[in-house]
Amino acid sequence: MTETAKYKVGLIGAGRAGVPRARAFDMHPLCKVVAIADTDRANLDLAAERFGVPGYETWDEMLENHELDIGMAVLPVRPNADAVVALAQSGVKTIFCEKPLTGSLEDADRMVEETSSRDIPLICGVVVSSTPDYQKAYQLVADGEIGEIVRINLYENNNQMGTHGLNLARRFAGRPNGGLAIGWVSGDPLAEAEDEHEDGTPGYGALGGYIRFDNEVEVFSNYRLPNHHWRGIEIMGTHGAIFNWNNTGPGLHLVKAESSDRLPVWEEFMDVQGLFLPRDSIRERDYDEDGWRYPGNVMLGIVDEMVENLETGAPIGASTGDDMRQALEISVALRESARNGHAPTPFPTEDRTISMLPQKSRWFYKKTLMGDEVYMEQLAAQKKD
Amino acid sequence: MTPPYRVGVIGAGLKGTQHARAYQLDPRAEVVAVAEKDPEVLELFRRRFGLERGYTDYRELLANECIDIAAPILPSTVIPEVVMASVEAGVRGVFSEKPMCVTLEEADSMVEACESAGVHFASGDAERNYDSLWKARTVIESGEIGDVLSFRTYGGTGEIWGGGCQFLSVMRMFAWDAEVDWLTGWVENDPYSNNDQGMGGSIHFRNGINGYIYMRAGDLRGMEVICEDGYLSYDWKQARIYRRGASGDEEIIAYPENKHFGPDLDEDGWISMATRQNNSTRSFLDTMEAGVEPRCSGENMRKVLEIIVAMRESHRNGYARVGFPIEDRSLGVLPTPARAFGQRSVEGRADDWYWPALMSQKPE
Repeated sequence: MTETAKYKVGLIGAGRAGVPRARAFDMHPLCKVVAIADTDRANLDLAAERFGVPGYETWDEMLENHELDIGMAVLPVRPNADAVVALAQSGVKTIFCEKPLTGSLEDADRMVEETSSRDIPLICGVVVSSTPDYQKAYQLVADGEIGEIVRINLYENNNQMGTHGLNLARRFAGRPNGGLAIGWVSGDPLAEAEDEHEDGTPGYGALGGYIRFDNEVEVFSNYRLPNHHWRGIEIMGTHGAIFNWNNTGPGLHLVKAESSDRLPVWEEFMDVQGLFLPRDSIRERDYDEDGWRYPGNVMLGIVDEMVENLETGAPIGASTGDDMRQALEISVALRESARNGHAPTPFPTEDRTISMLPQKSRWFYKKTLMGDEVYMEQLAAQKKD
Repeated sequence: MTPPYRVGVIGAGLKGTQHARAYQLDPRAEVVAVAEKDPEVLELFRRRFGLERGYTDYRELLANECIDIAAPILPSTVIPEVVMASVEAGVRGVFSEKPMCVTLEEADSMVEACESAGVHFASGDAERNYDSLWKARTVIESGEIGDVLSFRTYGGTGEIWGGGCQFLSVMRMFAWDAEVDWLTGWVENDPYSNNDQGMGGSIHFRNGINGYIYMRAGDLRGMEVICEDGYLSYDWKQARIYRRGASGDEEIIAYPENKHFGPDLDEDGWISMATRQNNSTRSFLDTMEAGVEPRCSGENMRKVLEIIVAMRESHRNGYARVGFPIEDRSLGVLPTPARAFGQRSVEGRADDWYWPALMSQKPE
């Protein structure tokens, strides 16, 4: 944090996630958090005091009073779209929005259009797909390091509307924007929400299926998950594979067969060493000399990329709002397919009124789900005052 | 000991010879008769197996010989007729080669005729007959690595009915031979062709197990059966079971590698026996003795053909979901010319490949 900071940052949503993400911007020498908005007075007061900045109970008030360069929306999913659109219309230069982006195609369109029409980068989510290791892996695949892609296998529930696995699969496939999906779900395909309701009505649950992108890359996604550490994603090539054990952390591997005489079985692959961070490389969230908890490598990397983009126009490799819109498109298509007897369903979907609600913990304000006491304890732990 | 089962081999070509040799090596069976339309091939077979008589028309064999087991080791377009005639003639077991027919109707007729006559019906010197896979199945059934969740098979290219019936049969075995609920599929070349070709798809069994048949080749070989706490890897040569361990998946069982025919000769001057043919023939004789379901039954092959037809129907209908059973039983797949009409129907194959291969079974 510096008094000569070039970029003024405004945070909408000063909760357990918003505070450390704002802190990540504050740690950058060219950035300073200058204003915070939150409808929850207790959160707002705590954050405003910790950052030493004015707090506002609405984002409109904050945007009226500050000319921001960087806008942040770290909220439950429901208000995300309105917050991002308000930030875009206020004239910020770049926006970070926490994931999931939204469950509504119309909202996703609105968020992407309001930002892209103004050339405002919209970066979405502290997600592993944004990390340098993954960006390196996308490039290795694009450069033919594992040969031609034969298929991508995903083993996960694809919750949060594909924020993790489906987004990763699409990014490895070269960011195609359309295709065909044949889907199935673990719950009730007609359900709007992912979770079971309190009255016992089932949610749609996990999403599985077959996806064929317009560029012919195939994705096979399965939510029948082993108890053991089965690989979360496998990008299978004609000359090797890239995989990770899970779709939310570090630990990528590039593997190749020792001999080219014969196709291998998986156990015959050899690890190419030294390319990626190991699985256990997540730094502990310890406290710095100012008493702040470490906000995490992923967010710090995203901040660096966003600021570099502002400074030099360098492209941003982190996952964008449009990436998450595309992941939502695939999720919608998988569920629509399941709703229609597993019919092959093209995406992007024409009917933009379709939406799908994520887990309650993503849709609703977590304090109401966790209880005031537990939530405020966790919020307090972000900084030793 | 009961007298050996009397085997009539119908089709004395390369594969018929291999089946006959496997029967010859098992004291529970005796090759007593042969039918083969090519007199030269018939004579070779008769000489090799010391048979006094041979028939150029299988109907004469069935009329004149008292056999327990009919072994129609024939092109796919001929097998159904011979199976039906064998059942009619009163045999107790039929062990044919694969692919056993062209249409679902034909498969139905054979399976139903055998069932109603109490005839044991097996099809194919098949991967599904390997002892190692049945041992692995027992391990998985015991819960050692948890319930089966899904499977994946690699390289569904080329001919799925002629060759892919092998992995589809093994897949069914580890799905506990459950009925298919539905699938979606696609073909390698032309969805409107009835000819055999590569296929792929996503298959969902009624017991919840699902799996992918990968059509695009080029990454891995074999197949994997993914279970809750481990997995089975099988590459057509060896089966291995892995279980979750403290430091990752640990191999707990590696079954012996399967051996092909030869290249060495046994003490009788025959090419040394392959594991698969041995296991196929032996397990069929076990079926005859114990009355248990054959490991790779005609019923299994009927279900496999239904899966294949469904994958193509899915593609024909824009990758639509296809539910089971398939109602239109006139549907089918014509195997490659060599399988459908005989190896020697392929131009040049008789001299270049067939005769040398046949002679190599017992060099003279």
